[in-house]
Amino acid sequence: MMQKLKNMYGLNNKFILVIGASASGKSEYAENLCLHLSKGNKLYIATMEPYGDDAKFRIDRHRKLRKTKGFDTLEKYTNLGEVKATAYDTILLECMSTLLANEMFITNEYKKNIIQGIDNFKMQVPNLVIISNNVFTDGVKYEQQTEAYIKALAEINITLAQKADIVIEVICGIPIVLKGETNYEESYNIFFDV
Amino acid sequence: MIFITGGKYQGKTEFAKTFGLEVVDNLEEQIKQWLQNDINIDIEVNQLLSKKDIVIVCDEVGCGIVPIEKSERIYREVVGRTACILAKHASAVYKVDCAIARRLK
Repeated sequence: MMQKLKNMYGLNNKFILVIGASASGKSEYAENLCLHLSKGNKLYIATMEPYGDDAKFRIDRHRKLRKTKGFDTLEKYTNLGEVKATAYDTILLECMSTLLANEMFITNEYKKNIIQGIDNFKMQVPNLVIISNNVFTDGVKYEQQTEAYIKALAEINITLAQKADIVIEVICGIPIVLKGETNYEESYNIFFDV
Repeated sequence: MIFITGGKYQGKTEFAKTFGLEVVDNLEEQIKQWLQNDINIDIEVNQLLSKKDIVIVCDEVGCGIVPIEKSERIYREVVGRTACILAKHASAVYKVDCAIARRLK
């Protein structure tokens, strides 16, 4: 099975975007994906600031999830372009939705900043996995600022999907390939095999 | 066990009925009741998992902005995680959009 995975995904130079709803299992899937992509050094970049009980709960949960998976952790809430990561061969960024909120808080150039940050990673490491959220279908019309945020996240997701080799949507823990030369069976096995 | 997810009013229930099995519909509403009445959700979910010939239908509720209300955030979290567990154990998983069912598993 591993050999088949290697053939499908390749072991190097993969940029994979993982999207999904809240509590859809996308983090666990993305972590397992990183283990399959590489046996080398892995860096987990956490963009969520530990303010409030909710954030702490989420951060604790994610720490437990990846505890035994051998990631180094870097907490970086904005300006990803500053990160030096050449010692690693895989970066997992969790997640785009909190990064965008943080960036929008400090600059009007948030989209440019974020894409530059991602390009910076791509130049430094062979494997890049980015987690982003699907926040677009709750049917609620929000006030202007929140709508601007939703639109910006949609645009960033589109840009990332265009740059990515593989795009996967996770629905209740099940990966669905939206883009890339892989298939259902391979992407699915990653989730249940690790 | 067959698990069916998707947005509301998409034809999930009608699709569920086509299997000719017992249907547990609107699981997200049951979860809301369990949360409100402090019922142990693990026990309830395990009871669902112990049934074989059953179709479980649950709305997908996580595709939006994080709610301001804490109870709504917990509800969303629990519905999502429960769906992951059920999907993992299901023999088949479908997502229904516009009354069109896609088999995910």
